[in-house]
Amino acid sequence: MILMAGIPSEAPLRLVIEAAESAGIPHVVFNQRESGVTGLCLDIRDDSVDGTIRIRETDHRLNAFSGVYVRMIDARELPEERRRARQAPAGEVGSRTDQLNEAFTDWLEVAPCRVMNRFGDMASNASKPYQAQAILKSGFLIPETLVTNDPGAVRDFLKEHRRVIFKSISSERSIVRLLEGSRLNDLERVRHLPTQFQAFVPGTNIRVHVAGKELFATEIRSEAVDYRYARQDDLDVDMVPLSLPPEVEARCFALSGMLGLPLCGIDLKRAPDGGYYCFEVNPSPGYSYYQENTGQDIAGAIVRYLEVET
Amino acid sequence: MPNFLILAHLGDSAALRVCSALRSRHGEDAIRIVSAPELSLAPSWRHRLGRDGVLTELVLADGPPIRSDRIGVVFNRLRYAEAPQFQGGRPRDRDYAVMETAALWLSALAALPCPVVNPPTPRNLGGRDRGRAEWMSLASKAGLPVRGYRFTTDPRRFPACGYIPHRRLLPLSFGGPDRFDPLPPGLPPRDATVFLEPLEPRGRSVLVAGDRVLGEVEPEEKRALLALSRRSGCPLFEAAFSRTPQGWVSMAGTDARLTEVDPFPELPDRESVEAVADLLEDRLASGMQVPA
Repeated sequence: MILMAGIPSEAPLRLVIEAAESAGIPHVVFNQRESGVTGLCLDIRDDSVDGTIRIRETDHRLNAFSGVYVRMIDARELPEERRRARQAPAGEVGSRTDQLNEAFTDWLEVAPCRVMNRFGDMASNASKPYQAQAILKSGFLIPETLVTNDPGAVRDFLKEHRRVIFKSISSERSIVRLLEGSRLNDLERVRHLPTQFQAFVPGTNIRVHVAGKELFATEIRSEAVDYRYARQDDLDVDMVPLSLPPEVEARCFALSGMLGLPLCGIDLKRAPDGGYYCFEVNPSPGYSYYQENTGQDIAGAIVRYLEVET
Repeated sequence: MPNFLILAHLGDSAALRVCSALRSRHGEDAIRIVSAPELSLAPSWRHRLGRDGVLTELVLADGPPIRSDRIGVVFNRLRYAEAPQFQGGRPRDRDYAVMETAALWLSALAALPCPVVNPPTPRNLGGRDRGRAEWMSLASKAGLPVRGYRFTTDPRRFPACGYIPHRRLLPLSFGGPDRFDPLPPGLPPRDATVFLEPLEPRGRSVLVAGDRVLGEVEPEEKRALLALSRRSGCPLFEAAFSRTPQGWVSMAGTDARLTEVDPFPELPDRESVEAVADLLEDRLASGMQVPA
């Protein structure tokens, strides 16, 4: 039986639920919006961590699950919790919802079954340059990168690479923009906080989803610098399924394994000279956008991976 | 360029004691201690990644530049990132600045070719910010008996017989250890409750610093603690033990239970400070990178 955790109306989780239903695979959903009526009992003793989760009046033993799909949000961001925090004075004891979600994520870190993905492993995405170091080890190319708060260093970098983009260093989403025009006049502002600059890499955007032992590659055709925000710039986006060379597929699987992320979204670019650059590995990919545009059965692959007992 | 670089928050007296011990052994010039605010307010950070590898050059407000490929060993006491330059800013800007700063520090620390004690991980700049289940699971696999623990949202359905009910409190600081407050006796628990195996209040603590283990410890415990150090990737930590009401016995039939693991030990005495200084010297001599 598979356990799924998150908010069921959200597309990535909804599609996994639908995939499990259509394949006839038993599954249970921990709906975070129902944390107030979900029960959890977690036991830690010598040699074992186990317990039960109670969902809609039914108890399920935690170690009986073959796999867990995690698409959770920070419990403090749940609408119910935000309302409660506004109404109740802050105290020393976390809310029941907060404690339950924390205990659940504690269990996920040590659960013996397959988990897509554990929070400790997802944390590598909190720093793009940190993740880039793992990407380098996997054999992918990375763009020449400078993280700096020194405007002089940025000017030198721009002279060296001519076309430079800038973006956030952390996982906080920022739109990737070219360093040009009026932004060059604002370079002194970088003194307030280091920013990440990269040599622009021309080529074809490719998004790869690794889901267990399956891989799905999608070519993205768009004129936008950051195709995720193409519509904001009145530009189109087309998505086409793609086959990658075997060595590139192997690097994707290696990177997934190295980062401990059996489910991940890998952002690549195929440069005009045939080299493959990797920009980021997304540990909680919004794969639904790609599935819905290409028909690739990523949700099915997630379910197939998690239903296998280890 | 310093042989020993110490990174610490303001007020970290353990870091200052280690700095003082190293200075008395090696002289002032071999040691540099840099605070978290100094890192945040450094006039120039240049952290480069690409085909030539990774290099960081840092110019602080005082002192010569620091290059990542010219440091001998780092004593890392950073728990979280700071962005004091945004102290008066909007909360959203402050939070963003802290996240960006943490991301930079993590990458720069992880890329250091020299040994780092304790090495950073994505969850915590000074060593992995693990939950209780994870620490206890690692400890148990290393051969240490751990304190029995039950968390339940429904204590009436899942009472833990013989265990003592507690409330779980929020940590005092980011990444700080779990805190528990026993419920008044006779008051039945109703809400989310933690049940803990009863242990004697007075316990003992043990410091693990590389291959050295300081404190009262049986040979089997020492082996298990060193195994925990390897499994956790933490060469430096303090482990707290308590005993069950049945009393101390040897590890073989043990009633000693591991209750806490802290990768940021206080180092309150000279012996523990010297042990850490020895560890840093060993790492410097061997150039040994601790796997993250």
